[in-house]
Amino acid sequence: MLERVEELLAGFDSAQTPRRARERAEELVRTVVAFYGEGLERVLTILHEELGERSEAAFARLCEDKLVETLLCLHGLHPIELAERVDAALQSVLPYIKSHKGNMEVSRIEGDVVFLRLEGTCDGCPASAATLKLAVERAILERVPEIREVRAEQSETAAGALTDHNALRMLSTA
Amino acid sequence: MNQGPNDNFAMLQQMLRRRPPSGERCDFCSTPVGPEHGHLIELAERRILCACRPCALVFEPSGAAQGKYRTIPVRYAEIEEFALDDSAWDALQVPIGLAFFFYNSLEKRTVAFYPSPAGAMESLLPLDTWAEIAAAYPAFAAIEPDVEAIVIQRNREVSRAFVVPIDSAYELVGVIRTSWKGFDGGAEAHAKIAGYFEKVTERGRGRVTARRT
Repeated sequence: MLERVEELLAGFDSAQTPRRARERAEELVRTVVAFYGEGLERVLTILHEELGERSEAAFARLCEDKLVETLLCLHGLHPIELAERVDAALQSVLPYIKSHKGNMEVSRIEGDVVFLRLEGTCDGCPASAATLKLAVERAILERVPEIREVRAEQSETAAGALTDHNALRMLSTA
Repeated sequence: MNQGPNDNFAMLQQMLRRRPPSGERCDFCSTPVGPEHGHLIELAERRILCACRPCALVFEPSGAAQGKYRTIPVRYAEIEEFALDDSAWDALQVPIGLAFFFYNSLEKRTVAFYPSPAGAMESLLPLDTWAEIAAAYPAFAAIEPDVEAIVIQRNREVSRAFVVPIDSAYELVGVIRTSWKGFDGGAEAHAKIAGYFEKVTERGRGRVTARRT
């Protein structure tokens, strides 16, 4: 892998146009980051072998550090499954929603988008769209770097009520 | 999409997932080029650049881009009945049985390089020695400045010389740089050098030989 880095650095000067230079730069970043990712994976494997049962606690500690956690996510090495992490983030704001007799749960995850099923008083309530964007999405995005957006799954009773457009209107009038 | 808090993460992740472009690309326009593509030389840096056919054509006319680039021709030819006695070879001050020569138009002189594990090393070529050899082999003097080279292989078994494109001469340097081990190079390096000369011989076959006496 390091030979490839050397090659790319040497080839850098050969790029005669900005487009070619960008491509080379991207490949260089890709190669270097992959090199670190490979190293990170091996470190975790060794830790796991050495610590045995205690490795779970050690990994949890690692994930308490936001920077380390982001790195683990980037390389697909997070010890906890994506769905489980999304759910944990949702749980953190659920007490507030439940205090309004509402409920939300994760319906599915598609790429970097989480779809939530709205239940109870949330279902069909225009204010739930604002809560979704303001509180729920924020909580999930903050804790799960792989996610970029949270959407409400359209229910028959509230079709159209929970679009981003309506959410924004709610926010601007709030 | 609006700027979200995790967009930077997503950008980096996508970049890592993007498959590296396979194979070589044109150093000018980034178009993928096949394994058999043309090369240009950037004269001032003596840097070899990959070029797709259209880009190579752009720089082909002499004086294009103020002469910054030259298209490297594809001409391979073995020089017939090449013989060099020990004293002539020794005078070239090349420590191994391999060297290549070309005319550097910026420096206005013929330069000699020999491949080494550290890359191409310049030999301090005594000019009169080269003039004597060139006089005996007119093909030597007929190579195109900067873009064609004479590669000489000379050891106990063989004594031969080829006209090759300059990128091919650098390819030989690369082969040696990456495979040479220890003092004598080792079996792998010698096999690769032999492979290089087989390829050059093959390419030179069926073409008009460069000897014009």
